[in-house]
Amino acid sequence: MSIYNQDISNIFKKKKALIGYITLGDPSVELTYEYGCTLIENGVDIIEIGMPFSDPIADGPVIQASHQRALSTNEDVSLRQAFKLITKLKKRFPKTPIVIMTAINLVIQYSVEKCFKDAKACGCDGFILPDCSIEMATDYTKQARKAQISLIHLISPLCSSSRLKKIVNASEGFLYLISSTGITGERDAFATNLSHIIKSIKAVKDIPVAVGFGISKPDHVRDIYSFADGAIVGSHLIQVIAKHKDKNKTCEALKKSIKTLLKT
Amino acid sequence: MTKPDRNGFFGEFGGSFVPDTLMPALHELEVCYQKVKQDPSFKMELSELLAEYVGRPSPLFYASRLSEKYGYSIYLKREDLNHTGAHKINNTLGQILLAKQMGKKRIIAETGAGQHGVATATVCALMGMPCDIYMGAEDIQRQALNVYRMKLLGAQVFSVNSGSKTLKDATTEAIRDWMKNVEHTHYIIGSALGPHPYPMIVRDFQRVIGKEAKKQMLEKEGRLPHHVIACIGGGSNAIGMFYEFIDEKDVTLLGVEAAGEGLNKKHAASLTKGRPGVLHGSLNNLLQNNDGQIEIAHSISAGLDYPGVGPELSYLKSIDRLKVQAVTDKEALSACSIVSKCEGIIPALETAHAFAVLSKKNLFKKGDIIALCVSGRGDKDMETFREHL
Ligand SMILES: Cc1ncc(COP(=O)(O)O)c(C=O)c1O
Repeated sequence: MSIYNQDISNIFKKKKALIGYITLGDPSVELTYEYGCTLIENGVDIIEIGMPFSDPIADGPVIQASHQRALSTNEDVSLRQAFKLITKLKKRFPKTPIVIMTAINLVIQYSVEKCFKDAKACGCDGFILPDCSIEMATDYTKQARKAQISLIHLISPLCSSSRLKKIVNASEGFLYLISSTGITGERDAFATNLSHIIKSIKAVKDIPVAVGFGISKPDHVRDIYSFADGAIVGSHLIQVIAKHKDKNKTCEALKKSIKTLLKT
Repeated sequence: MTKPDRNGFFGEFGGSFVPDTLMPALHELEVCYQKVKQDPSFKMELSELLAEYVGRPSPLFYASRLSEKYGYSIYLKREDLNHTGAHKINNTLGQILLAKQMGKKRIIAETGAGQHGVATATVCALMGMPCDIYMGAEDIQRQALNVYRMKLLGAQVFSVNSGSKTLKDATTEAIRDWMKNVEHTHYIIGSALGPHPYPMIVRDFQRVIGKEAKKQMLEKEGRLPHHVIACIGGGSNAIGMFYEFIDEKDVTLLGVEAAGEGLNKKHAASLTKGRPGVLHGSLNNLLQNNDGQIEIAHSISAGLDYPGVGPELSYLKSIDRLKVQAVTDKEALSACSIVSKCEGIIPALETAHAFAVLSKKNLFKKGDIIALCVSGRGDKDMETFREHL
């Protein structure tokens, strides 16, 4: 439940949500726009724009390589550019929530208050800061609330119940439950206690929970939809984008991937 | 004396900016550390090993020919005489005992010069624990001998090919490994860096350097030094050497960073040229561009080739308690040559940076007493010396 983010809560009210991650500027900012459109037109409900960072500690090799590709193009892949991209996407899809996933350093260097304010102005719905533990989040939570931006926290299966409570209470929009310990990227097994964790979360607050890290197969999505509110797909899409050089072929392949993932 | 606050901040620096996955392990580490710190049997085991395995206390040696050459009284804190040839083992020994206490089954570490990797592989061999070391591909080339040493000691060395292929990227990779295997693996970080409680723990294990030096100095000179000098990579030998002197306001603390090819070119001078930002789990002085992308550092010495510096030194610099100088590759090489010929001590390239400030004008007065931390010996750098000297 979100007070100021009606778009995010509307999505989860209607159905299970598929959330798609793409890296800003991989292979170019223009194509990030195109691929974002393709994702939305083919069933992705929420877009996560990943900010390329030189040293992504939470990401696996696939997303790290994607960040390096984006950084090596010499195109501007800063938050300013992300805000421009979001403005453009929102013009075409005003109801689709778009959130930014970024290393906290980019936010700090932009200046926290200004960052959330500018984000809000372009229609951005939320931020995911994977390297901001709840212990560090107090000031960011305050600034985000002030700007009416949802701070979407990550929560790992190892989280203790007292920390879980703090994280849930500080979260807006939805919660990002990590499927297992480790970094982003495809994997075979998820933690076995996910549905139990979701129950603990809902006991604290009625907030949608999406599960991410390593989701690449229709079975995964079906499984996650049976106990969570949404599934987040990242590395799987990035691999599709990395594999195809041609724009039209990539769009076709993305379309096919989503259709396959959603086949239940 | 400086202490981190509850969230691991020294002033505005520090903290634990890590994914939620790592927080339970960091809490566990902190709780375990606070407990064993007071535990007499832990303290006993550590101090016995420091004495009998590492060879502590390390001497404080009066360098008479260097003193004569420069006109100061120069004392050398001989961490180069430690087992494995550098200060790094003070920390790895403490941390492996912690890992054992926590029941961890596997050790990982990052390394730049390879000294920390060797020191980690060494204590893992001592304790019979499996050990995986991450090292940048470029450093693997520069420090081939240390790679071989780690392997001989039974460690696996993984080459890291991302980014600048140096210490920064090896650290990122080690953190990523830890994210995956956090339940049974302990990460022995090699400098006073990373998320809380690491900067505090590493500092505490390195504190023995300054503690001994202070006592030895009082014995030899009957007074404290005017200046304490150490080189700064991530900052572990420096904070270890400085810590006991922080409250002694008459003692200048002088840290020496790598100016690489020059401060207007490629360098690793994060205290002199950096801005506060988050890398590898804490807020520190960093070399970064306007957007916040981390820049690639450069130093001829692999152990200083890192774009950040620990939070406590960042803090001491910000309150002006710590003075900082930057020394170029060339100046460090030349200092190495001087010290080798003057004292029969071949310092590590990292340490040579500390020695190089002795040649700078206007930093010290005639007759000043100086205590300089010889963080390591130069055996590992022979190839580089041969190429450049
Ligand atoms: C001999 C020696 N001195 C200094 C350093 C720099 O590290 P720190 O700043 O943590 O002491 C290293 C790092 O590898 C080293 O090997």
